[in-house]
Amino acid sequence: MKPGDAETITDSLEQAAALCDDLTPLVYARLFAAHPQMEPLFASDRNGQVRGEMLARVIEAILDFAGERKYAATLIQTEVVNHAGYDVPPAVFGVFFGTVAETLRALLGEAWTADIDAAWSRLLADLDYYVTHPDQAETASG
Amino acid sequence: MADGGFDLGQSRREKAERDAAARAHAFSIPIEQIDVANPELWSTDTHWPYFERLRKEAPVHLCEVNEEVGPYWSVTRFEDIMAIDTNHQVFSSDAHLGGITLRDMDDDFILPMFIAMDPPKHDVQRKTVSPVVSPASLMQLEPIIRERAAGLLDSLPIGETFDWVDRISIELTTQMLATLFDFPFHDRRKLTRWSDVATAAPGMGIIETEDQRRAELLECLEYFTGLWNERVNAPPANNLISLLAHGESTKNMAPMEYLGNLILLIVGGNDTTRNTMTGSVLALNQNPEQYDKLRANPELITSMVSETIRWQTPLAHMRRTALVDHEIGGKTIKKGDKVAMWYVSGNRDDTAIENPDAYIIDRERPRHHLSFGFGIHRCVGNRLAEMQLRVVWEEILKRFPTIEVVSEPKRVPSSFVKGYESLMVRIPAKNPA
Repeated sequence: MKPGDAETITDSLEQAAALCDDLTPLVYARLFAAHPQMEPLFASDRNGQVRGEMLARVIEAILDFAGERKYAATLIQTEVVNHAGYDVPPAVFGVFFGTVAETLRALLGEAWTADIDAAWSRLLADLDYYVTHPDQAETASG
Repeated sequence: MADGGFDLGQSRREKAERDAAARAHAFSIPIEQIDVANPELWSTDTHWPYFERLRKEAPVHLCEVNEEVGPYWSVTRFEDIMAIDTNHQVFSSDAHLGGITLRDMDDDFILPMFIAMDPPKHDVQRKTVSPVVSPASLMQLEPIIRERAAGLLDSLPIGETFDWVDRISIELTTQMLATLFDFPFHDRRKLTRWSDVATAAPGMGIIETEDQRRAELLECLEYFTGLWNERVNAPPANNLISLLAHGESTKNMAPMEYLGNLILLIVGGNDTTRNTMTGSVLALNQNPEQYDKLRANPELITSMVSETIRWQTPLAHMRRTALVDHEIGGKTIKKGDKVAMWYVSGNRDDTAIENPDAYIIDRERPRHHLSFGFGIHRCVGNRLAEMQLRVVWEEILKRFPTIEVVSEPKRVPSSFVKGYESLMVRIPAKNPA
């Protein structure tokens, strides 16, 4: 990521929040349309709270990752490990992060600028590094 | 005087006085002297103001006044706990370094278990037992849980005082645990006993000495070794012992490692759900407007369950050991230091959770809590626990307009298992037919 990307990412999320009270239905509708095999993973989520909480955590992790990085990188790594235990492959994480970006792009329309697009592309690439390197022994900086 | 010889008003007045004294003490003593691991704070439910002060003034705090467990760091804010819980490269759970509780395991009685292991061994052992709590397994278990809950609730006396902990919380969770192990049903209360023995401090009521704990846990090992020998020679089945006996990463476990993992599964499957089940009755009694809301809209059961899991936080903390020097919250935790992540405090952190001291069953993000932990040790049975609690409350609301708490609960004197020894209740009536 480049300097200024954190602010750009945050700004895009704030713009989306101003346009839409709850991104949850939009994100999951897009996700399940493109990846119908993922819908059964949420079969027991009767009231949508699991989906809502997962998206909220992802957005909080994105903000932390783009900013201070207090916990997001290690959280992503451990979630990849935990989900592997349930036979959910790491690629799902990239799909989910990408779906969040696509949902924002659709929601913002013309307000989705080239700068926002570039910042999100760099963010997704950096996130992907931790998704594909869940072994903290490989990525620890001390 | 309330039914059963209890005076609820009097016990609540006494509690209010205790709380006020604790608050005055918590905010007046030198901060270095705060010791939130002191069991008395937990048996009296007076730990709250100490955590409130730590979150405000010293969110990463070194305690050097506890002779029982030695020096330990307390991490009390939500995000700092997340940072440590997910960073197993720096913060180890290894039993040989002390494990997951502030009290170190004795060198001559170390119980390796996957919650007290680091990768890669942790990952493969955890994956071995995961199928028993997979979505498919949970679907099979739900009707069994419902039938048993219904049977037990139908057997409860109307208009009489009884102990909810023993009659319902322990019995239901123990039955469930026996099912997961395919454990002889008539001996199921042995599981309860071993769970209590494993987590109790000597001299606090459950066991008198460490030698007694070891003797009882070795009885547990002997009993389960008999079951292992049966299962290892039978075709693989979807119960925890069979999964361990046939699992590639667990089939050659040493006896103490088998015992360690059994204790993990027994405590994990027993204490936590049991105490949340009791906590739900207590919380709804302390917040009658929330009980009204639940009765009016049983659809709220799912979010009430999550809110109760946050409110109760049945495991108050998990301990880690620093593998290298690490800076957090402006403090440097040194290699080898003990670190307690106080989930119970993070769950009351108002920088992460709105109005966290309030019990609100329809709050916007009821699943936003630390009670299951984060990282690779996140509770493997979390969905099972939620399902058990949901089913029990679905069955309760079908039967009883209210369950009245008639005295203050007796709490477990432990800074690890945050729970109840007893909670006396009365059910005044059944729902009209």
